[in-house]
Amino acid sequence: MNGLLVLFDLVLLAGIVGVAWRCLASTDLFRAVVLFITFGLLLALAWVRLEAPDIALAEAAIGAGITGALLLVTLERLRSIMAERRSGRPHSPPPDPTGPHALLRALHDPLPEHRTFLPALTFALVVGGLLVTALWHQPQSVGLEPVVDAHMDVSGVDHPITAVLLNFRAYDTFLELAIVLIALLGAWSLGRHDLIPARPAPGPILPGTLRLLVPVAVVTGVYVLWAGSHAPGGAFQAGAILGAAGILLVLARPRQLPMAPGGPLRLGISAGVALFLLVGLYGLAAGHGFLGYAEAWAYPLIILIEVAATLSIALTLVALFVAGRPAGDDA
Amino acid sequence: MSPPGAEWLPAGIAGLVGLSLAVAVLATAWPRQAHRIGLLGALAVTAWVLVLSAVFLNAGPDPETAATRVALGGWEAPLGLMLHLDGLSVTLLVLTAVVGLATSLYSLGYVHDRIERRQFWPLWLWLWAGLNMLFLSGDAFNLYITLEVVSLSAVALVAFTGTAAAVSGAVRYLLVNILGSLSFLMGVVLLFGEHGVLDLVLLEARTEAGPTERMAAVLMTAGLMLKAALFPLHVWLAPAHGSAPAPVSAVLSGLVVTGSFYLILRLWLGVFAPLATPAFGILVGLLGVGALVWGSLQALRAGRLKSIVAYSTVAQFGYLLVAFPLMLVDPGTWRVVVFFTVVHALAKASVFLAAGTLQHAAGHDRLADLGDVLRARPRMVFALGLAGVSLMGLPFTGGFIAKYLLLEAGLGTVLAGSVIGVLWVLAIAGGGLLAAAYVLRMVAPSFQRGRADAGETVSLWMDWVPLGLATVAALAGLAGTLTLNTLALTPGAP
Amino acid sequence: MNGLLETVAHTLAPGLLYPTGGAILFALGLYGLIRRHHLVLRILALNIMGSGVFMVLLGVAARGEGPPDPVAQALTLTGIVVAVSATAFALALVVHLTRLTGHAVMLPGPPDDDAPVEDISREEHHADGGPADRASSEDRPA
Repeated sequence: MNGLLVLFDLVLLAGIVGVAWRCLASTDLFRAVVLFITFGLLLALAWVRLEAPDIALAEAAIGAGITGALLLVTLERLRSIMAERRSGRPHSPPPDPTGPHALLRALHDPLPEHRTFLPALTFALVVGGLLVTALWHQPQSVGLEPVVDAHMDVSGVDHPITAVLLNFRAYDTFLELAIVLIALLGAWSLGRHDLIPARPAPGPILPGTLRLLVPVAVVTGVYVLWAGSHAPGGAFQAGAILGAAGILLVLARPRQLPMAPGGPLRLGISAGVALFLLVGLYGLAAGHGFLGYAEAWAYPLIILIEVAATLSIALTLVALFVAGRPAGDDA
Repeated sequence: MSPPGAEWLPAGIAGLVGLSLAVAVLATAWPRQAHRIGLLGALAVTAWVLVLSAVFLNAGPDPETAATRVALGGWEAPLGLMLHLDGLSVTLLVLTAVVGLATSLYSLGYVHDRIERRQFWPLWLWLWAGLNMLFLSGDAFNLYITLEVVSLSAVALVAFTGTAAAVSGAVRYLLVNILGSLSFLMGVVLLFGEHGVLDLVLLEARTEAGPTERMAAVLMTAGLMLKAALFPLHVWLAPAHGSAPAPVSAVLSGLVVTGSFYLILRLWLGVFAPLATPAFGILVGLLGVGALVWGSLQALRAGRLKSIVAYSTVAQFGYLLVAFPLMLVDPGTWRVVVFFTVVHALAKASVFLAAGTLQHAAGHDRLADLGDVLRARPRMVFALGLAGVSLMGLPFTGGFIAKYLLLEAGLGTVLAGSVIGVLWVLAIAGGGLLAAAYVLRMVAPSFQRGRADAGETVSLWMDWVPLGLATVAALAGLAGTLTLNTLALTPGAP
Repeated sequence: MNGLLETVAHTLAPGLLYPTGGAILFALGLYGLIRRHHLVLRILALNIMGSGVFMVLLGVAARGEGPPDPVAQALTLTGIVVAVSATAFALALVVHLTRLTGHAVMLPGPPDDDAPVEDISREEHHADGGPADRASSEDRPA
């Protein structure tokens, strides 16, 4: 056993738990969100240590990146709603009767009252203790690695995780795409989108950065997508990277979002699931089972599904950042 | 043309999943036609489910091998995912189809705004597809994913009216659902860590009463109890179900809650069967008595029609918990429990739909001011009454048969020498009386003298669908034997 | 003495250390979820619980000899995407709730279930009055 590695594990875990604790204990929401993003990046490090580079990539891009962007824009939205309500604009609803602290409360959560301390602590300790006990009694099971390994030659791809995601357990992945879509449908059903409470920073720095960053992000995204068939990477990581590029573009000109046409937009967000489902139904009709491929066609079909899924995920993530439905969708 | 035989079943099962998904995807991609796609889809899915169940029953499967398992993509477990059809899933698929079709027809009249229609139908069709997939799933992790499909679309539908009450109900509902899902997922992870497989049948063959199974059972059951609003984890239910649009409330109280309960039952009949002990049964039974009493009292106190109905769901689900200790004495009781759930779902959905029509006509659903509309709309009163009678369990209704069978099981426990059995019998009988009280509270204003005012006009769908569904609920008693025989075709369950 | 050392060495293997860390995160998130009232903090707490579940899963997958279990890693990837979707939708709901009520706090205790509800089946209700109409194109101070 390598003593240094154990030390690394212990320090990393202590850091992760510590950051999570500070995040949940902070009264300032902005601080909590920044700590949460740090938490995500530390987790990515832990996933590398657990020999899961795919997950590390996904955690950094989705868990820390996209979630972080969503959290930060939410805080800005809450702040601007509070400001608007307090300034008593004619169109805003009447101010909150609960008092003058409404503005503070949006971005500040007072420390919880003491009487919940002991019950909550006891409950968490009991749950955590029982979990640890159960985990320490578990055998050193090998899991499904040998089974996957034995079937890699018929999966159509060379990377085991892509084989599991898009072939052996393709149904789960299809539903995962569906869940991203349902989240967007849910956000859209709440109403039209509001202005993003951000101003483009004046000066040449932002446009210049964007001119550099966005092409790099696109190239990276395409590379990560392409790499997925034989190395860490794949549709979700690539979709998150492209989605991040889209979010940057939205942030650069938050007041002049292009009027998105409803029809093509709907097609774009549902292209991933639609194509996946068509391939799946074809598999059923052709006798390979629902969501099954003929062995010779597995590779091209998987790549096709991944390309469509990447585009849909990227588009959906940007739309989730903008939050409400575009006016074009009602036309 | 001869009817398809048992060899068609695997394709039929995968086809049902494919069809429900195709309808949802199509409505998402083409929202302008979503209501037409939805109506055609509802008819097609219902027809498919009925054919599937007919083939399943007609194939005359041998009870030992009755489950049809489909390897998706041709990959057998443990590598791949398996769909799983047996008597229990067939029963719930048919229930979902009946309530789903009624809700779809009702929604044609209820959601008439052009823009709202586009938002409503895709979400509702995803919810329906999610339920179908939940009842067909045979894989622990896939169950988590289907639960998420169901809960995210259900939350979105709760928030649909966009009022403060609905949105705050939806937020609460969403947080509870995420917590429930995570708890469930942690249980799945524990089982995977111990046994290295996710397929329920393979898991069942490997489980024994060890620390992993105990902790997984606690986590998964607690998570699902949260989602099913089983007492004492029910506080989120009334605001969410009570403030959602009427067809959504019907689906939530009738089907979504039933879906989580189905999963609890499925797990305890299979993977966790070695863990059930009498002490545990009594604990669950006591929770059930608590639910019956608390839910009924809240239903008697609530001021809004839809709140009454929502609280009655908490109360009625108490029966399912009370049945738990009975199942330990006579394992066959689980079939009665499922039959009870089916009848409850039908009756509860029709009550919610009738309440929606009344609310539409009167412009509110405050019980105190609802007399005028109730007096002018005898059809709605009849639907409320008919479904209510089934909830109470008066003779000749589905509810009667279900409660009679439950009582019989309870008396069996008493005769077997269990003292606490007396409490279960009292709870089952007393729960019916309390139900009678709150059902009468709902229809009572129509028997008082006073002005009759039909209020706003309602569409034909909204006028007739509640009555139709209430009739189905009342007649479900006739299908009692059929249901129990279908449920007997569940391998592994007693 | 040797037995004790072996136990310690066994405990410090990543296959046990990380699942333990995951269990701690799960419990910590649960604690935060109970104690904090602001909805954004509650969403963060749920995300931390989720990360705990993923850490247990990946830790379990890295147990034993040989390469880690790809199925567990694929499941984690799916879980992360589900978590971000649920988070995005939850945040959208929180913003909407704040717009309607002026606060984003969910206090413990039973909600008021007798509050009036709007009926979307009535004629006077229209979906078009979204917030975009109200905010129009005015610039508000950043």
